Amino acid sequence: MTIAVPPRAPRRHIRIDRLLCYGALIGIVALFLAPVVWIIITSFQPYALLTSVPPKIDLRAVEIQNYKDLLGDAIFRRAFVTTTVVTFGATLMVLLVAVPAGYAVGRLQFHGKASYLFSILAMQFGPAIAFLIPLFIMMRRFGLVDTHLGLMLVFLVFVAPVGVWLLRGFFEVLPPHLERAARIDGASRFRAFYQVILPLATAGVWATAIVAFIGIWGDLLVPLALSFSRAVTLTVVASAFAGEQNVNYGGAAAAAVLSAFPSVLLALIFRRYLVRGLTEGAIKQ
Amino acid sequence: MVRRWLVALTLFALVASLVPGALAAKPFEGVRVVILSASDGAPGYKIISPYIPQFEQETGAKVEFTEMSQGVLHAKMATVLAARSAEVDLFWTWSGFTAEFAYAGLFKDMTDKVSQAEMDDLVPGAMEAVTYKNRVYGLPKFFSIRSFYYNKRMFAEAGLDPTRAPRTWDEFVDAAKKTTNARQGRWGVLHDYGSNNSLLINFQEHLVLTGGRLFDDKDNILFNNELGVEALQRVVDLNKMGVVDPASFGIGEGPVKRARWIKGNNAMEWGWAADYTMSLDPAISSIVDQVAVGLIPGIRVRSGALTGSEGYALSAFGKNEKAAIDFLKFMTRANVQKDMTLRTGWYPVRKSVFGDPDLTKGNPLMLSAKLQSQYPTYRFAAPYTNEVNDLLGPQLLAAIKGEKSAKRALDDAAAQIRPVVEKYKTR
Amino acid sequence: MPRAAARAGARRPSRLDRARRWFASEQLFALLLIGPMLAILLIFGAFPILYSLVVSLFEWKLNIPRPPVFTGFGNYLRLFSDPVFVSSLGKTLYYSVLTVGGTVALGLVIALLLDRDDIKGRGLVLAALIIPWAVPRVVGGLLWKWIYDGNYGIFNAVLLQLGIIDQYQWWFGQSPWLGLTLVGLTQIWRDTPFSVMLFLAGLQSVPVHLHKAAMMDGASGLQRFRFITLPSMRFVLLAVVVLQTTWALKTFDLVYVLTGGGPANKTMLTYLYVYRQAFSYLDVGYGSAMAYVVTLLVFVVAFGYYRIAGRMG
Repeated sequence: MTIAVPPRAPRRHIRIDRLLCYGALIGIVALFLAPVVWIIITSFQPYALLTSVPPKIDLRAVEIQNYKDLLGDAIFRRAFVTTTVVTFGATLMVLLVAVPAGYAVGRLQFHGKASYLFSILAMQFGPAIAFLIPLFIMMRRFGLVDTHLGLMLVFLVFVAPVGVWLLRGFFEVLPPHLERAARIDGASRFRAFYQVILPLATAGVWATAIVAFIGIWGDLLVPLALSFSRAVTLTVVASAFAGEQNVNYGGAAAAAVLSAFPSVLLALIFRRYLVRGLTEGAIKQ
Repeated sequence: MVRRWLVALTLFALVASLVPGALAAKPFEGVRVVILSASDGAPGYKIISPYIPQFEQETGAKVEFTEMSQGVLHAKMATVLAARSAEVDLFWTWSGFTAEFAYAGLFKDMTDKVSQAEMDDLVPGAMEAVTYKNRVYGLPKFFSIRSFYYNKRMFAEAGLDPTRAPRTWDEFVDAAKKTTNARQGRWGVLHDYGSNNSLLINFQEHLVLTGGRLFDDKDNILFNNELGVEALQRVVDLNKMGVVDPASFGIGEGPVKRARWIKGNNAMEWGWAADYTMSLDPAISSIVDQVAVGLIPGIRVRSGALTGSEGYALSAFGKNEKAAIDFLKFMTRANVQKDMTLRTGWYPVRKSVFGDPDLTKGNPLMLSAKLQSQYPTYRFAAPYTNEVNDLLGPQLLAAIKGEKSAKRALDDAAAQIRPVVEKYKTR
Repeated sequence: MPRAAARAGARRPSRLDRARRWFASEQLFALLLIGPMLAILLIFGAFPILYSLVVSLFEWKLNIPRPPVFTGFGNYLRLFSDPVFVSSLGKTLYYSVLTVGGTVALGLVIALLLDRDDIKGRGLVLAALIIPWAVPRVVGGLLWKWIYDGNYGIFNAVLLQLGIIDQYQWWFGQSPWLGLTLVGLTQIWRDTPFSVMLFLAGLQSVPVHLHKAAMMDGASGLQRFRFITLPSMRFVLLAVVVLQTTWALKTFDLVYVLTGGGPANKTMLTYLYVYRQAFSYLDVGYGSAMAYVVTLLVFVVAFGYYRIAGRMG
């Protein structure tokens, strides 16, 4: 490949250039983090300071009253537990379903694979809202409305296709003939998958887990429609703080911080897997 | 030997401690009452939920009380209705919800569960919240009616008499002009055009002042008649004069408006009791002791006000009806209502509590609410409230912003609303 | 072509044979592995889709106690005369162009800055950028609602300080386009980090030797970007555009929290309007029809992409 460009004297990288680049990056990071920092500050301020114009920050006035109120609220505590249980449970279920399916579409040949992949893709793009009323009616039939299990199942429906798609990419890139070698050594098909291939794809499994976790943790629409009391999640509680009827700014800030914290923390810890998961999932499509 | 005695004693103590509990049999031991509620008030001003532990102790029932925004609650009620789910026993409601869900069959008629004696003591404006076509579907948690509030300091600074609220519409307009100083960010009137809901409430407030109505009893549209046009025209004119706080276009009815009000940049507004109660709290208000209460100045009538009571209604599919009704009655008890009013400032649902000297002492609101109730009151409620909200709201805003004439806007809204309402007529 | 046919003909028996063996082993094994996923797709995917389709052909309002009435395509026809729906399409288009443009442009710039060899601390920047992305959308909405607040928001304070405004403003009470733009900024804030990650992965897959060769030929940075980087990134670029577009079309949480579609339906995006029809007016028939149209839109975008990607790859 040749590129038709006029010859020109090669330019040297000068230091100013690099400094500018650092400056821009610092500015960008500051802009992206500023709202987060501001909400954290807000959550520790008393109402009188929050409602001062222009906004005042007084580090001596830091108080944890907003958090105390929130954690003293049985509904919030229950929502926190529910969200944790449902998110971990659903993520686990997603893995149990998506890992074998992802392996099958990534490395095996079978009839109907194309239409199977098509329906998985369709499920991924289909707007959740179209499913909610029928799903609610089904959940009702099974007695699963407003239960943890019900929420987990619905999340499984929405997230497992994403997981399959993601894992497919991770399984595909492994060298071919690995299974054949294992089979020659006398392993069954299942053992070849379980003991030879799976350990090589752990990065994919982690990536899927973290992508699923963040998606489920932050979802509003599903719990909004499918739970009313026992299985209400943090996002629903947080959305109540956004109602027209709310001026409890400090409480809203504390609720925002607490409901985002686990998700952000895990994203930071599993950063590498998350980045890989997102890029693989999107680019391999 | 000693050991044996000790064991016997312990056993006896155990049994003795159990007996009183067993004797005072709690009627709903082990029953779970699920209540879905809209916001029960700001922290520290919660209305009914603080009494739940007392109810649980008395009856042995376990109450699961979940709060959410009104929009979310409406969605949940829809799903419960669709699935005829028995998971919920009581729903938060106001007259609009009651009309919609009584008509739809989600709420259960409990008219015969309320005796005539009880009925006689309940404030009619409060019962409105749980009544549809003369049938009762629940009980109210508080009574609410709008009052006229004005900022005495701003009145005095503008050369107006701070002890006298405007009595006529002309006086009101005059006071609005005098108290407005746009350059200093001071405005005569605070309205709320920020949401369809608040636009409709604002329009209804003016409708009651002209003696107009949105619909008649047979669901025919009245709001574009001359009374309706006049009501809207008054709002349009007020805006043309430049005396309405431009923030009004960004804020909805309720606490956000209240937060604006207590900043002290607005001379007049009409609003709920909490607008006054919150203005007294030095931690959040910059107008402590500056707010005075009066009658809402009328347009064609001396005065009139919107009501906005709330309550809880019985689910048609709930499985704990007895315990749920017991909770409703507990909530409307005189001592609960009195304590609620003392703590939160919302008006009690009982006439007998209304006259309690502990409540009227040093609180001009109770008296003013009673006075205001003697003039016409109004709150539109129909099964199609939501749709009317969202179809009328944009047209009202268009008129207020001067994009259309008031008549044209209301006619356009009528044309859109008519087919929607038709669907509800043919049952 | 004839050669291929001849080859197939010649190998027919062995192929049949092999197929039989294949079916007994790999086919069955694959079925076993995809079984649970397949069951989920059929039960929880196919049923709701068909059910919604049927419902969309009926006039059915949950709050009118009357059995559903079959109207054929009545609900679909009604869409075209519904001014809120029609204007919501325009608003959704604006919102999509804004957020897709924003996330792609900003994402590309950040990724290019990060891709330089002489930059240290790339991991740190990426870690910082992951935070907005990991914040649940509702929480993102809450956070920005507070920032834009007309009574106390810091957005107002900053603009006032800079002398751009002379009084605090209620941003969402003004023009609908301004309101949508502010919601869009929130989405750009939250989703750009995702674009950055993808672009960075794309940039790192651009062969280094091409750049070196071009540099020796004296190509400027801009030329190299135009002729080397962009062509090898087209696939990633396409992926980002499509994913962001489908997300924009499916925007719910943010606009629900920030404006609720108001004031006066002026920031009503189509997806929110579907929710409004189904859960506020309880018009499940009409709501389902609308949901189908949105689904169709998303699919057109997604499969258009699938086709283009297929042609490219």
